[in-house]
Amino acid sequence: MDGLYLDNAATSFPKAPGVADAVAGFLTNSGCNINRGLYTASFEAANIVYETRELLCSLFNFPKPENVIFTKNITESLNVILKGLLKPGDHVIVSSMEHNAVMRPLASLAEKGVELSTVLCNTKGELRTSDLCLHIRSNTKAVIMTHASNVSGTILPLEEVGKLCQEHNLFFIIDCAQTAGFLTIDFIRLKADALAFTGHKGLLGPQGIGGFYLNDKLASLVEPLIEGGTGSASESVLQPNYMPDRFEAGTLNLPGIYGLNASLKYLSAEGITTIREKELNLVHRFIQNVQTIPGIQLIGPDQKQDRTGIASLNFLNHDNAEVSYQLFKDFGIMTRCGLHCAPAAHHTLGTFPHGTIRFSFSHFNSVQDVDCVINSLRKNF
Amino acid sequence: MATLIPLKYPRRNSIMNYIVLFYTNSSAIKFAKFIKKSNYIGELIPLPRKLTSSCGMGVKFHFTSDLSAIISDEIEKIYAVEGNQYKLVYRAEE
Repeated sequence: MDGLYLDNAATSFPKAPGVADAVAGFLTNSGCNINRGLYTASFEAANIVYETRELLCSLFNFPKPENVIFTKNITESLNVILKGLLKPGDHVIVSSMEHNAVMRPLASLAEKGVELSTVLCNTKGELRTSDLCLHIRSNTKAVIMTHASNVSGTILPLEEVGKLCQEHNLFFIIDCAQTAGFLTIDFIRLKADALAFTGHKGLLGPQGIGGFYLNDKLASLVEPLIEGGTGSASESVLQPNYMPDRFEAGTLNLPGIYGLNASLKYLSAEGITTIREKELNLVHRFIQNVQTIPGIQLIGPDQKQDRTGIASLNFLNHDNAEVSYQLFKDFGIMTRCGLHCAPAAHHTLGTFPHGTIRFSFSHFNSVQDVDCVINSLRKNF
Repeated sequence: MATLIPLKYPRRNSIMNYIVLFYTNSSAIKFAKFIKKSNYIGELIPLPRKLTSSCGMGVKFHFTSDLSAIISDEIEKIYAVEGNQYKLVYRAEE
C-alpha cells in the first residue's frame, strides 16, 4: 500500500506475517468444507478450525473451545447475542461510548419493547462504575459494554463492571472490537458471560471473520439468529442445541479462519504486552507532540495507560474532513474522520456533529511514521 | 448430559478396534487430537450408516487398555469392530 496507513482501528494493515499465505494456501491446496464430505483434506480443515477455537480460548481465557462461535464480524456477533437474548420487558444498560454495532440492534429491540438505559461517561469517555448502579432495576437483564472507545481510545473499567454484574446477577456482555490483540483480556477474571470479537482489527487477521463466546448458561438462553445445515444431526429438521453447531449453520468462512489461525499464532509468539507497549509508545509520542501545536484539541484521556493505540483530534480552526483529505492528498497519510459509527460517543465527548480525525496506530508503525505525521501537521495546520 | 450406564466393554489385555460416536463433531475432533497426542493408533472417519442416521464423523482407534479410561460425557456410543460386525460395547443413557 502506498502512503502511511493510520486507520488500524477500522481494520488493521498490514496483517500479521503468514496470514496471506495461510488464506492462499487453503484456497490453493485444499479449499474443502468441514463437517460435510469426510475425507483427509476435510479432516485437516476441521482440525484447523478446532485449533483456532483453542487459540482463541488461550488468548481470551475462554474455558471451552466448543463455545467459541465464528461469525463474519463482531457486528454480526453482537446482533446474534442481543437479538437472541433480549425479550420485550427486559432492561439493559450500556455506556454512552458504545458503537452503533451495539446501539443499532438495541434501538431496533427498543421498538419491540426492550428497555435501555445509558450510563453517561465524562467528556474524556471515562465511566464511573458507581453511576452504573443507579440504573439497575428489577427487570435489568444485562450490561453490554465496549472495552474501549473506538473514538477516543478510552478504556472502560470492565473488571469493576463485571464484579457489579455478578453481585446483581446481570449478564455481562463485552464488545472487545478495539482491545482484542492490544489488552490482555481474561474472560473469567472479567466475570463475563459473553464476549464478542472481530478478527480483522487488533487480531491482525483477514476481514470477514469474527466471533463470540458464550458461557453455558447463555449458550442455552440465546436463540440462534441463523438456522440451517451443520453437517450434524442431519436426520432432524431442528437446529441442534449443542455448541458450536447451534450458532454455526451454513458453511463457515474457512479461508478467514485459516488466516485468523495464522494471526493468532503470530500474536502468541510476539506477545500482547510487547505489542501494546510498542503501540502505546507511538501514540504517546504522537500525543505529546500534537499537544504543542496550537489549534488542535486532543480528545480522550491524557494518560497513555488509560487508552488504546488511537488518538482523535479536533481541529479548532479547520474543518476536520478537509484536514483529513489534505493529509492524504499531500502526504499520503490515511486517517478516518467523521463520527466513526459512534454518534453516542461523540455526543459524550462533545464532538458531535463535527466529529474528529482519528489516527490509529499499529505496532508495525515506526517512530519515523509518527514524526512524519507531526511534521505534516506542523507545516500545514 | 446423560448418566453413564455400567458397561460390558472388554477389559484389559484385549486388543480391539473401536468406533466412537460423539454428540458433536467438535467432540470427535477433540478426541482424535487426544488419540494422536496419546500415541494411540486411530483417526477420524465418516460414521458407517449402520451405526447412525446422522452424517457425522467418529473416531476409529486401536486400544488395548480398559475403555473406562477414555469415557467422557461427550461420548454417545462405542462399538467394537469384529470383522464386518459392530458390537455395541458402551452407550450413554439418553
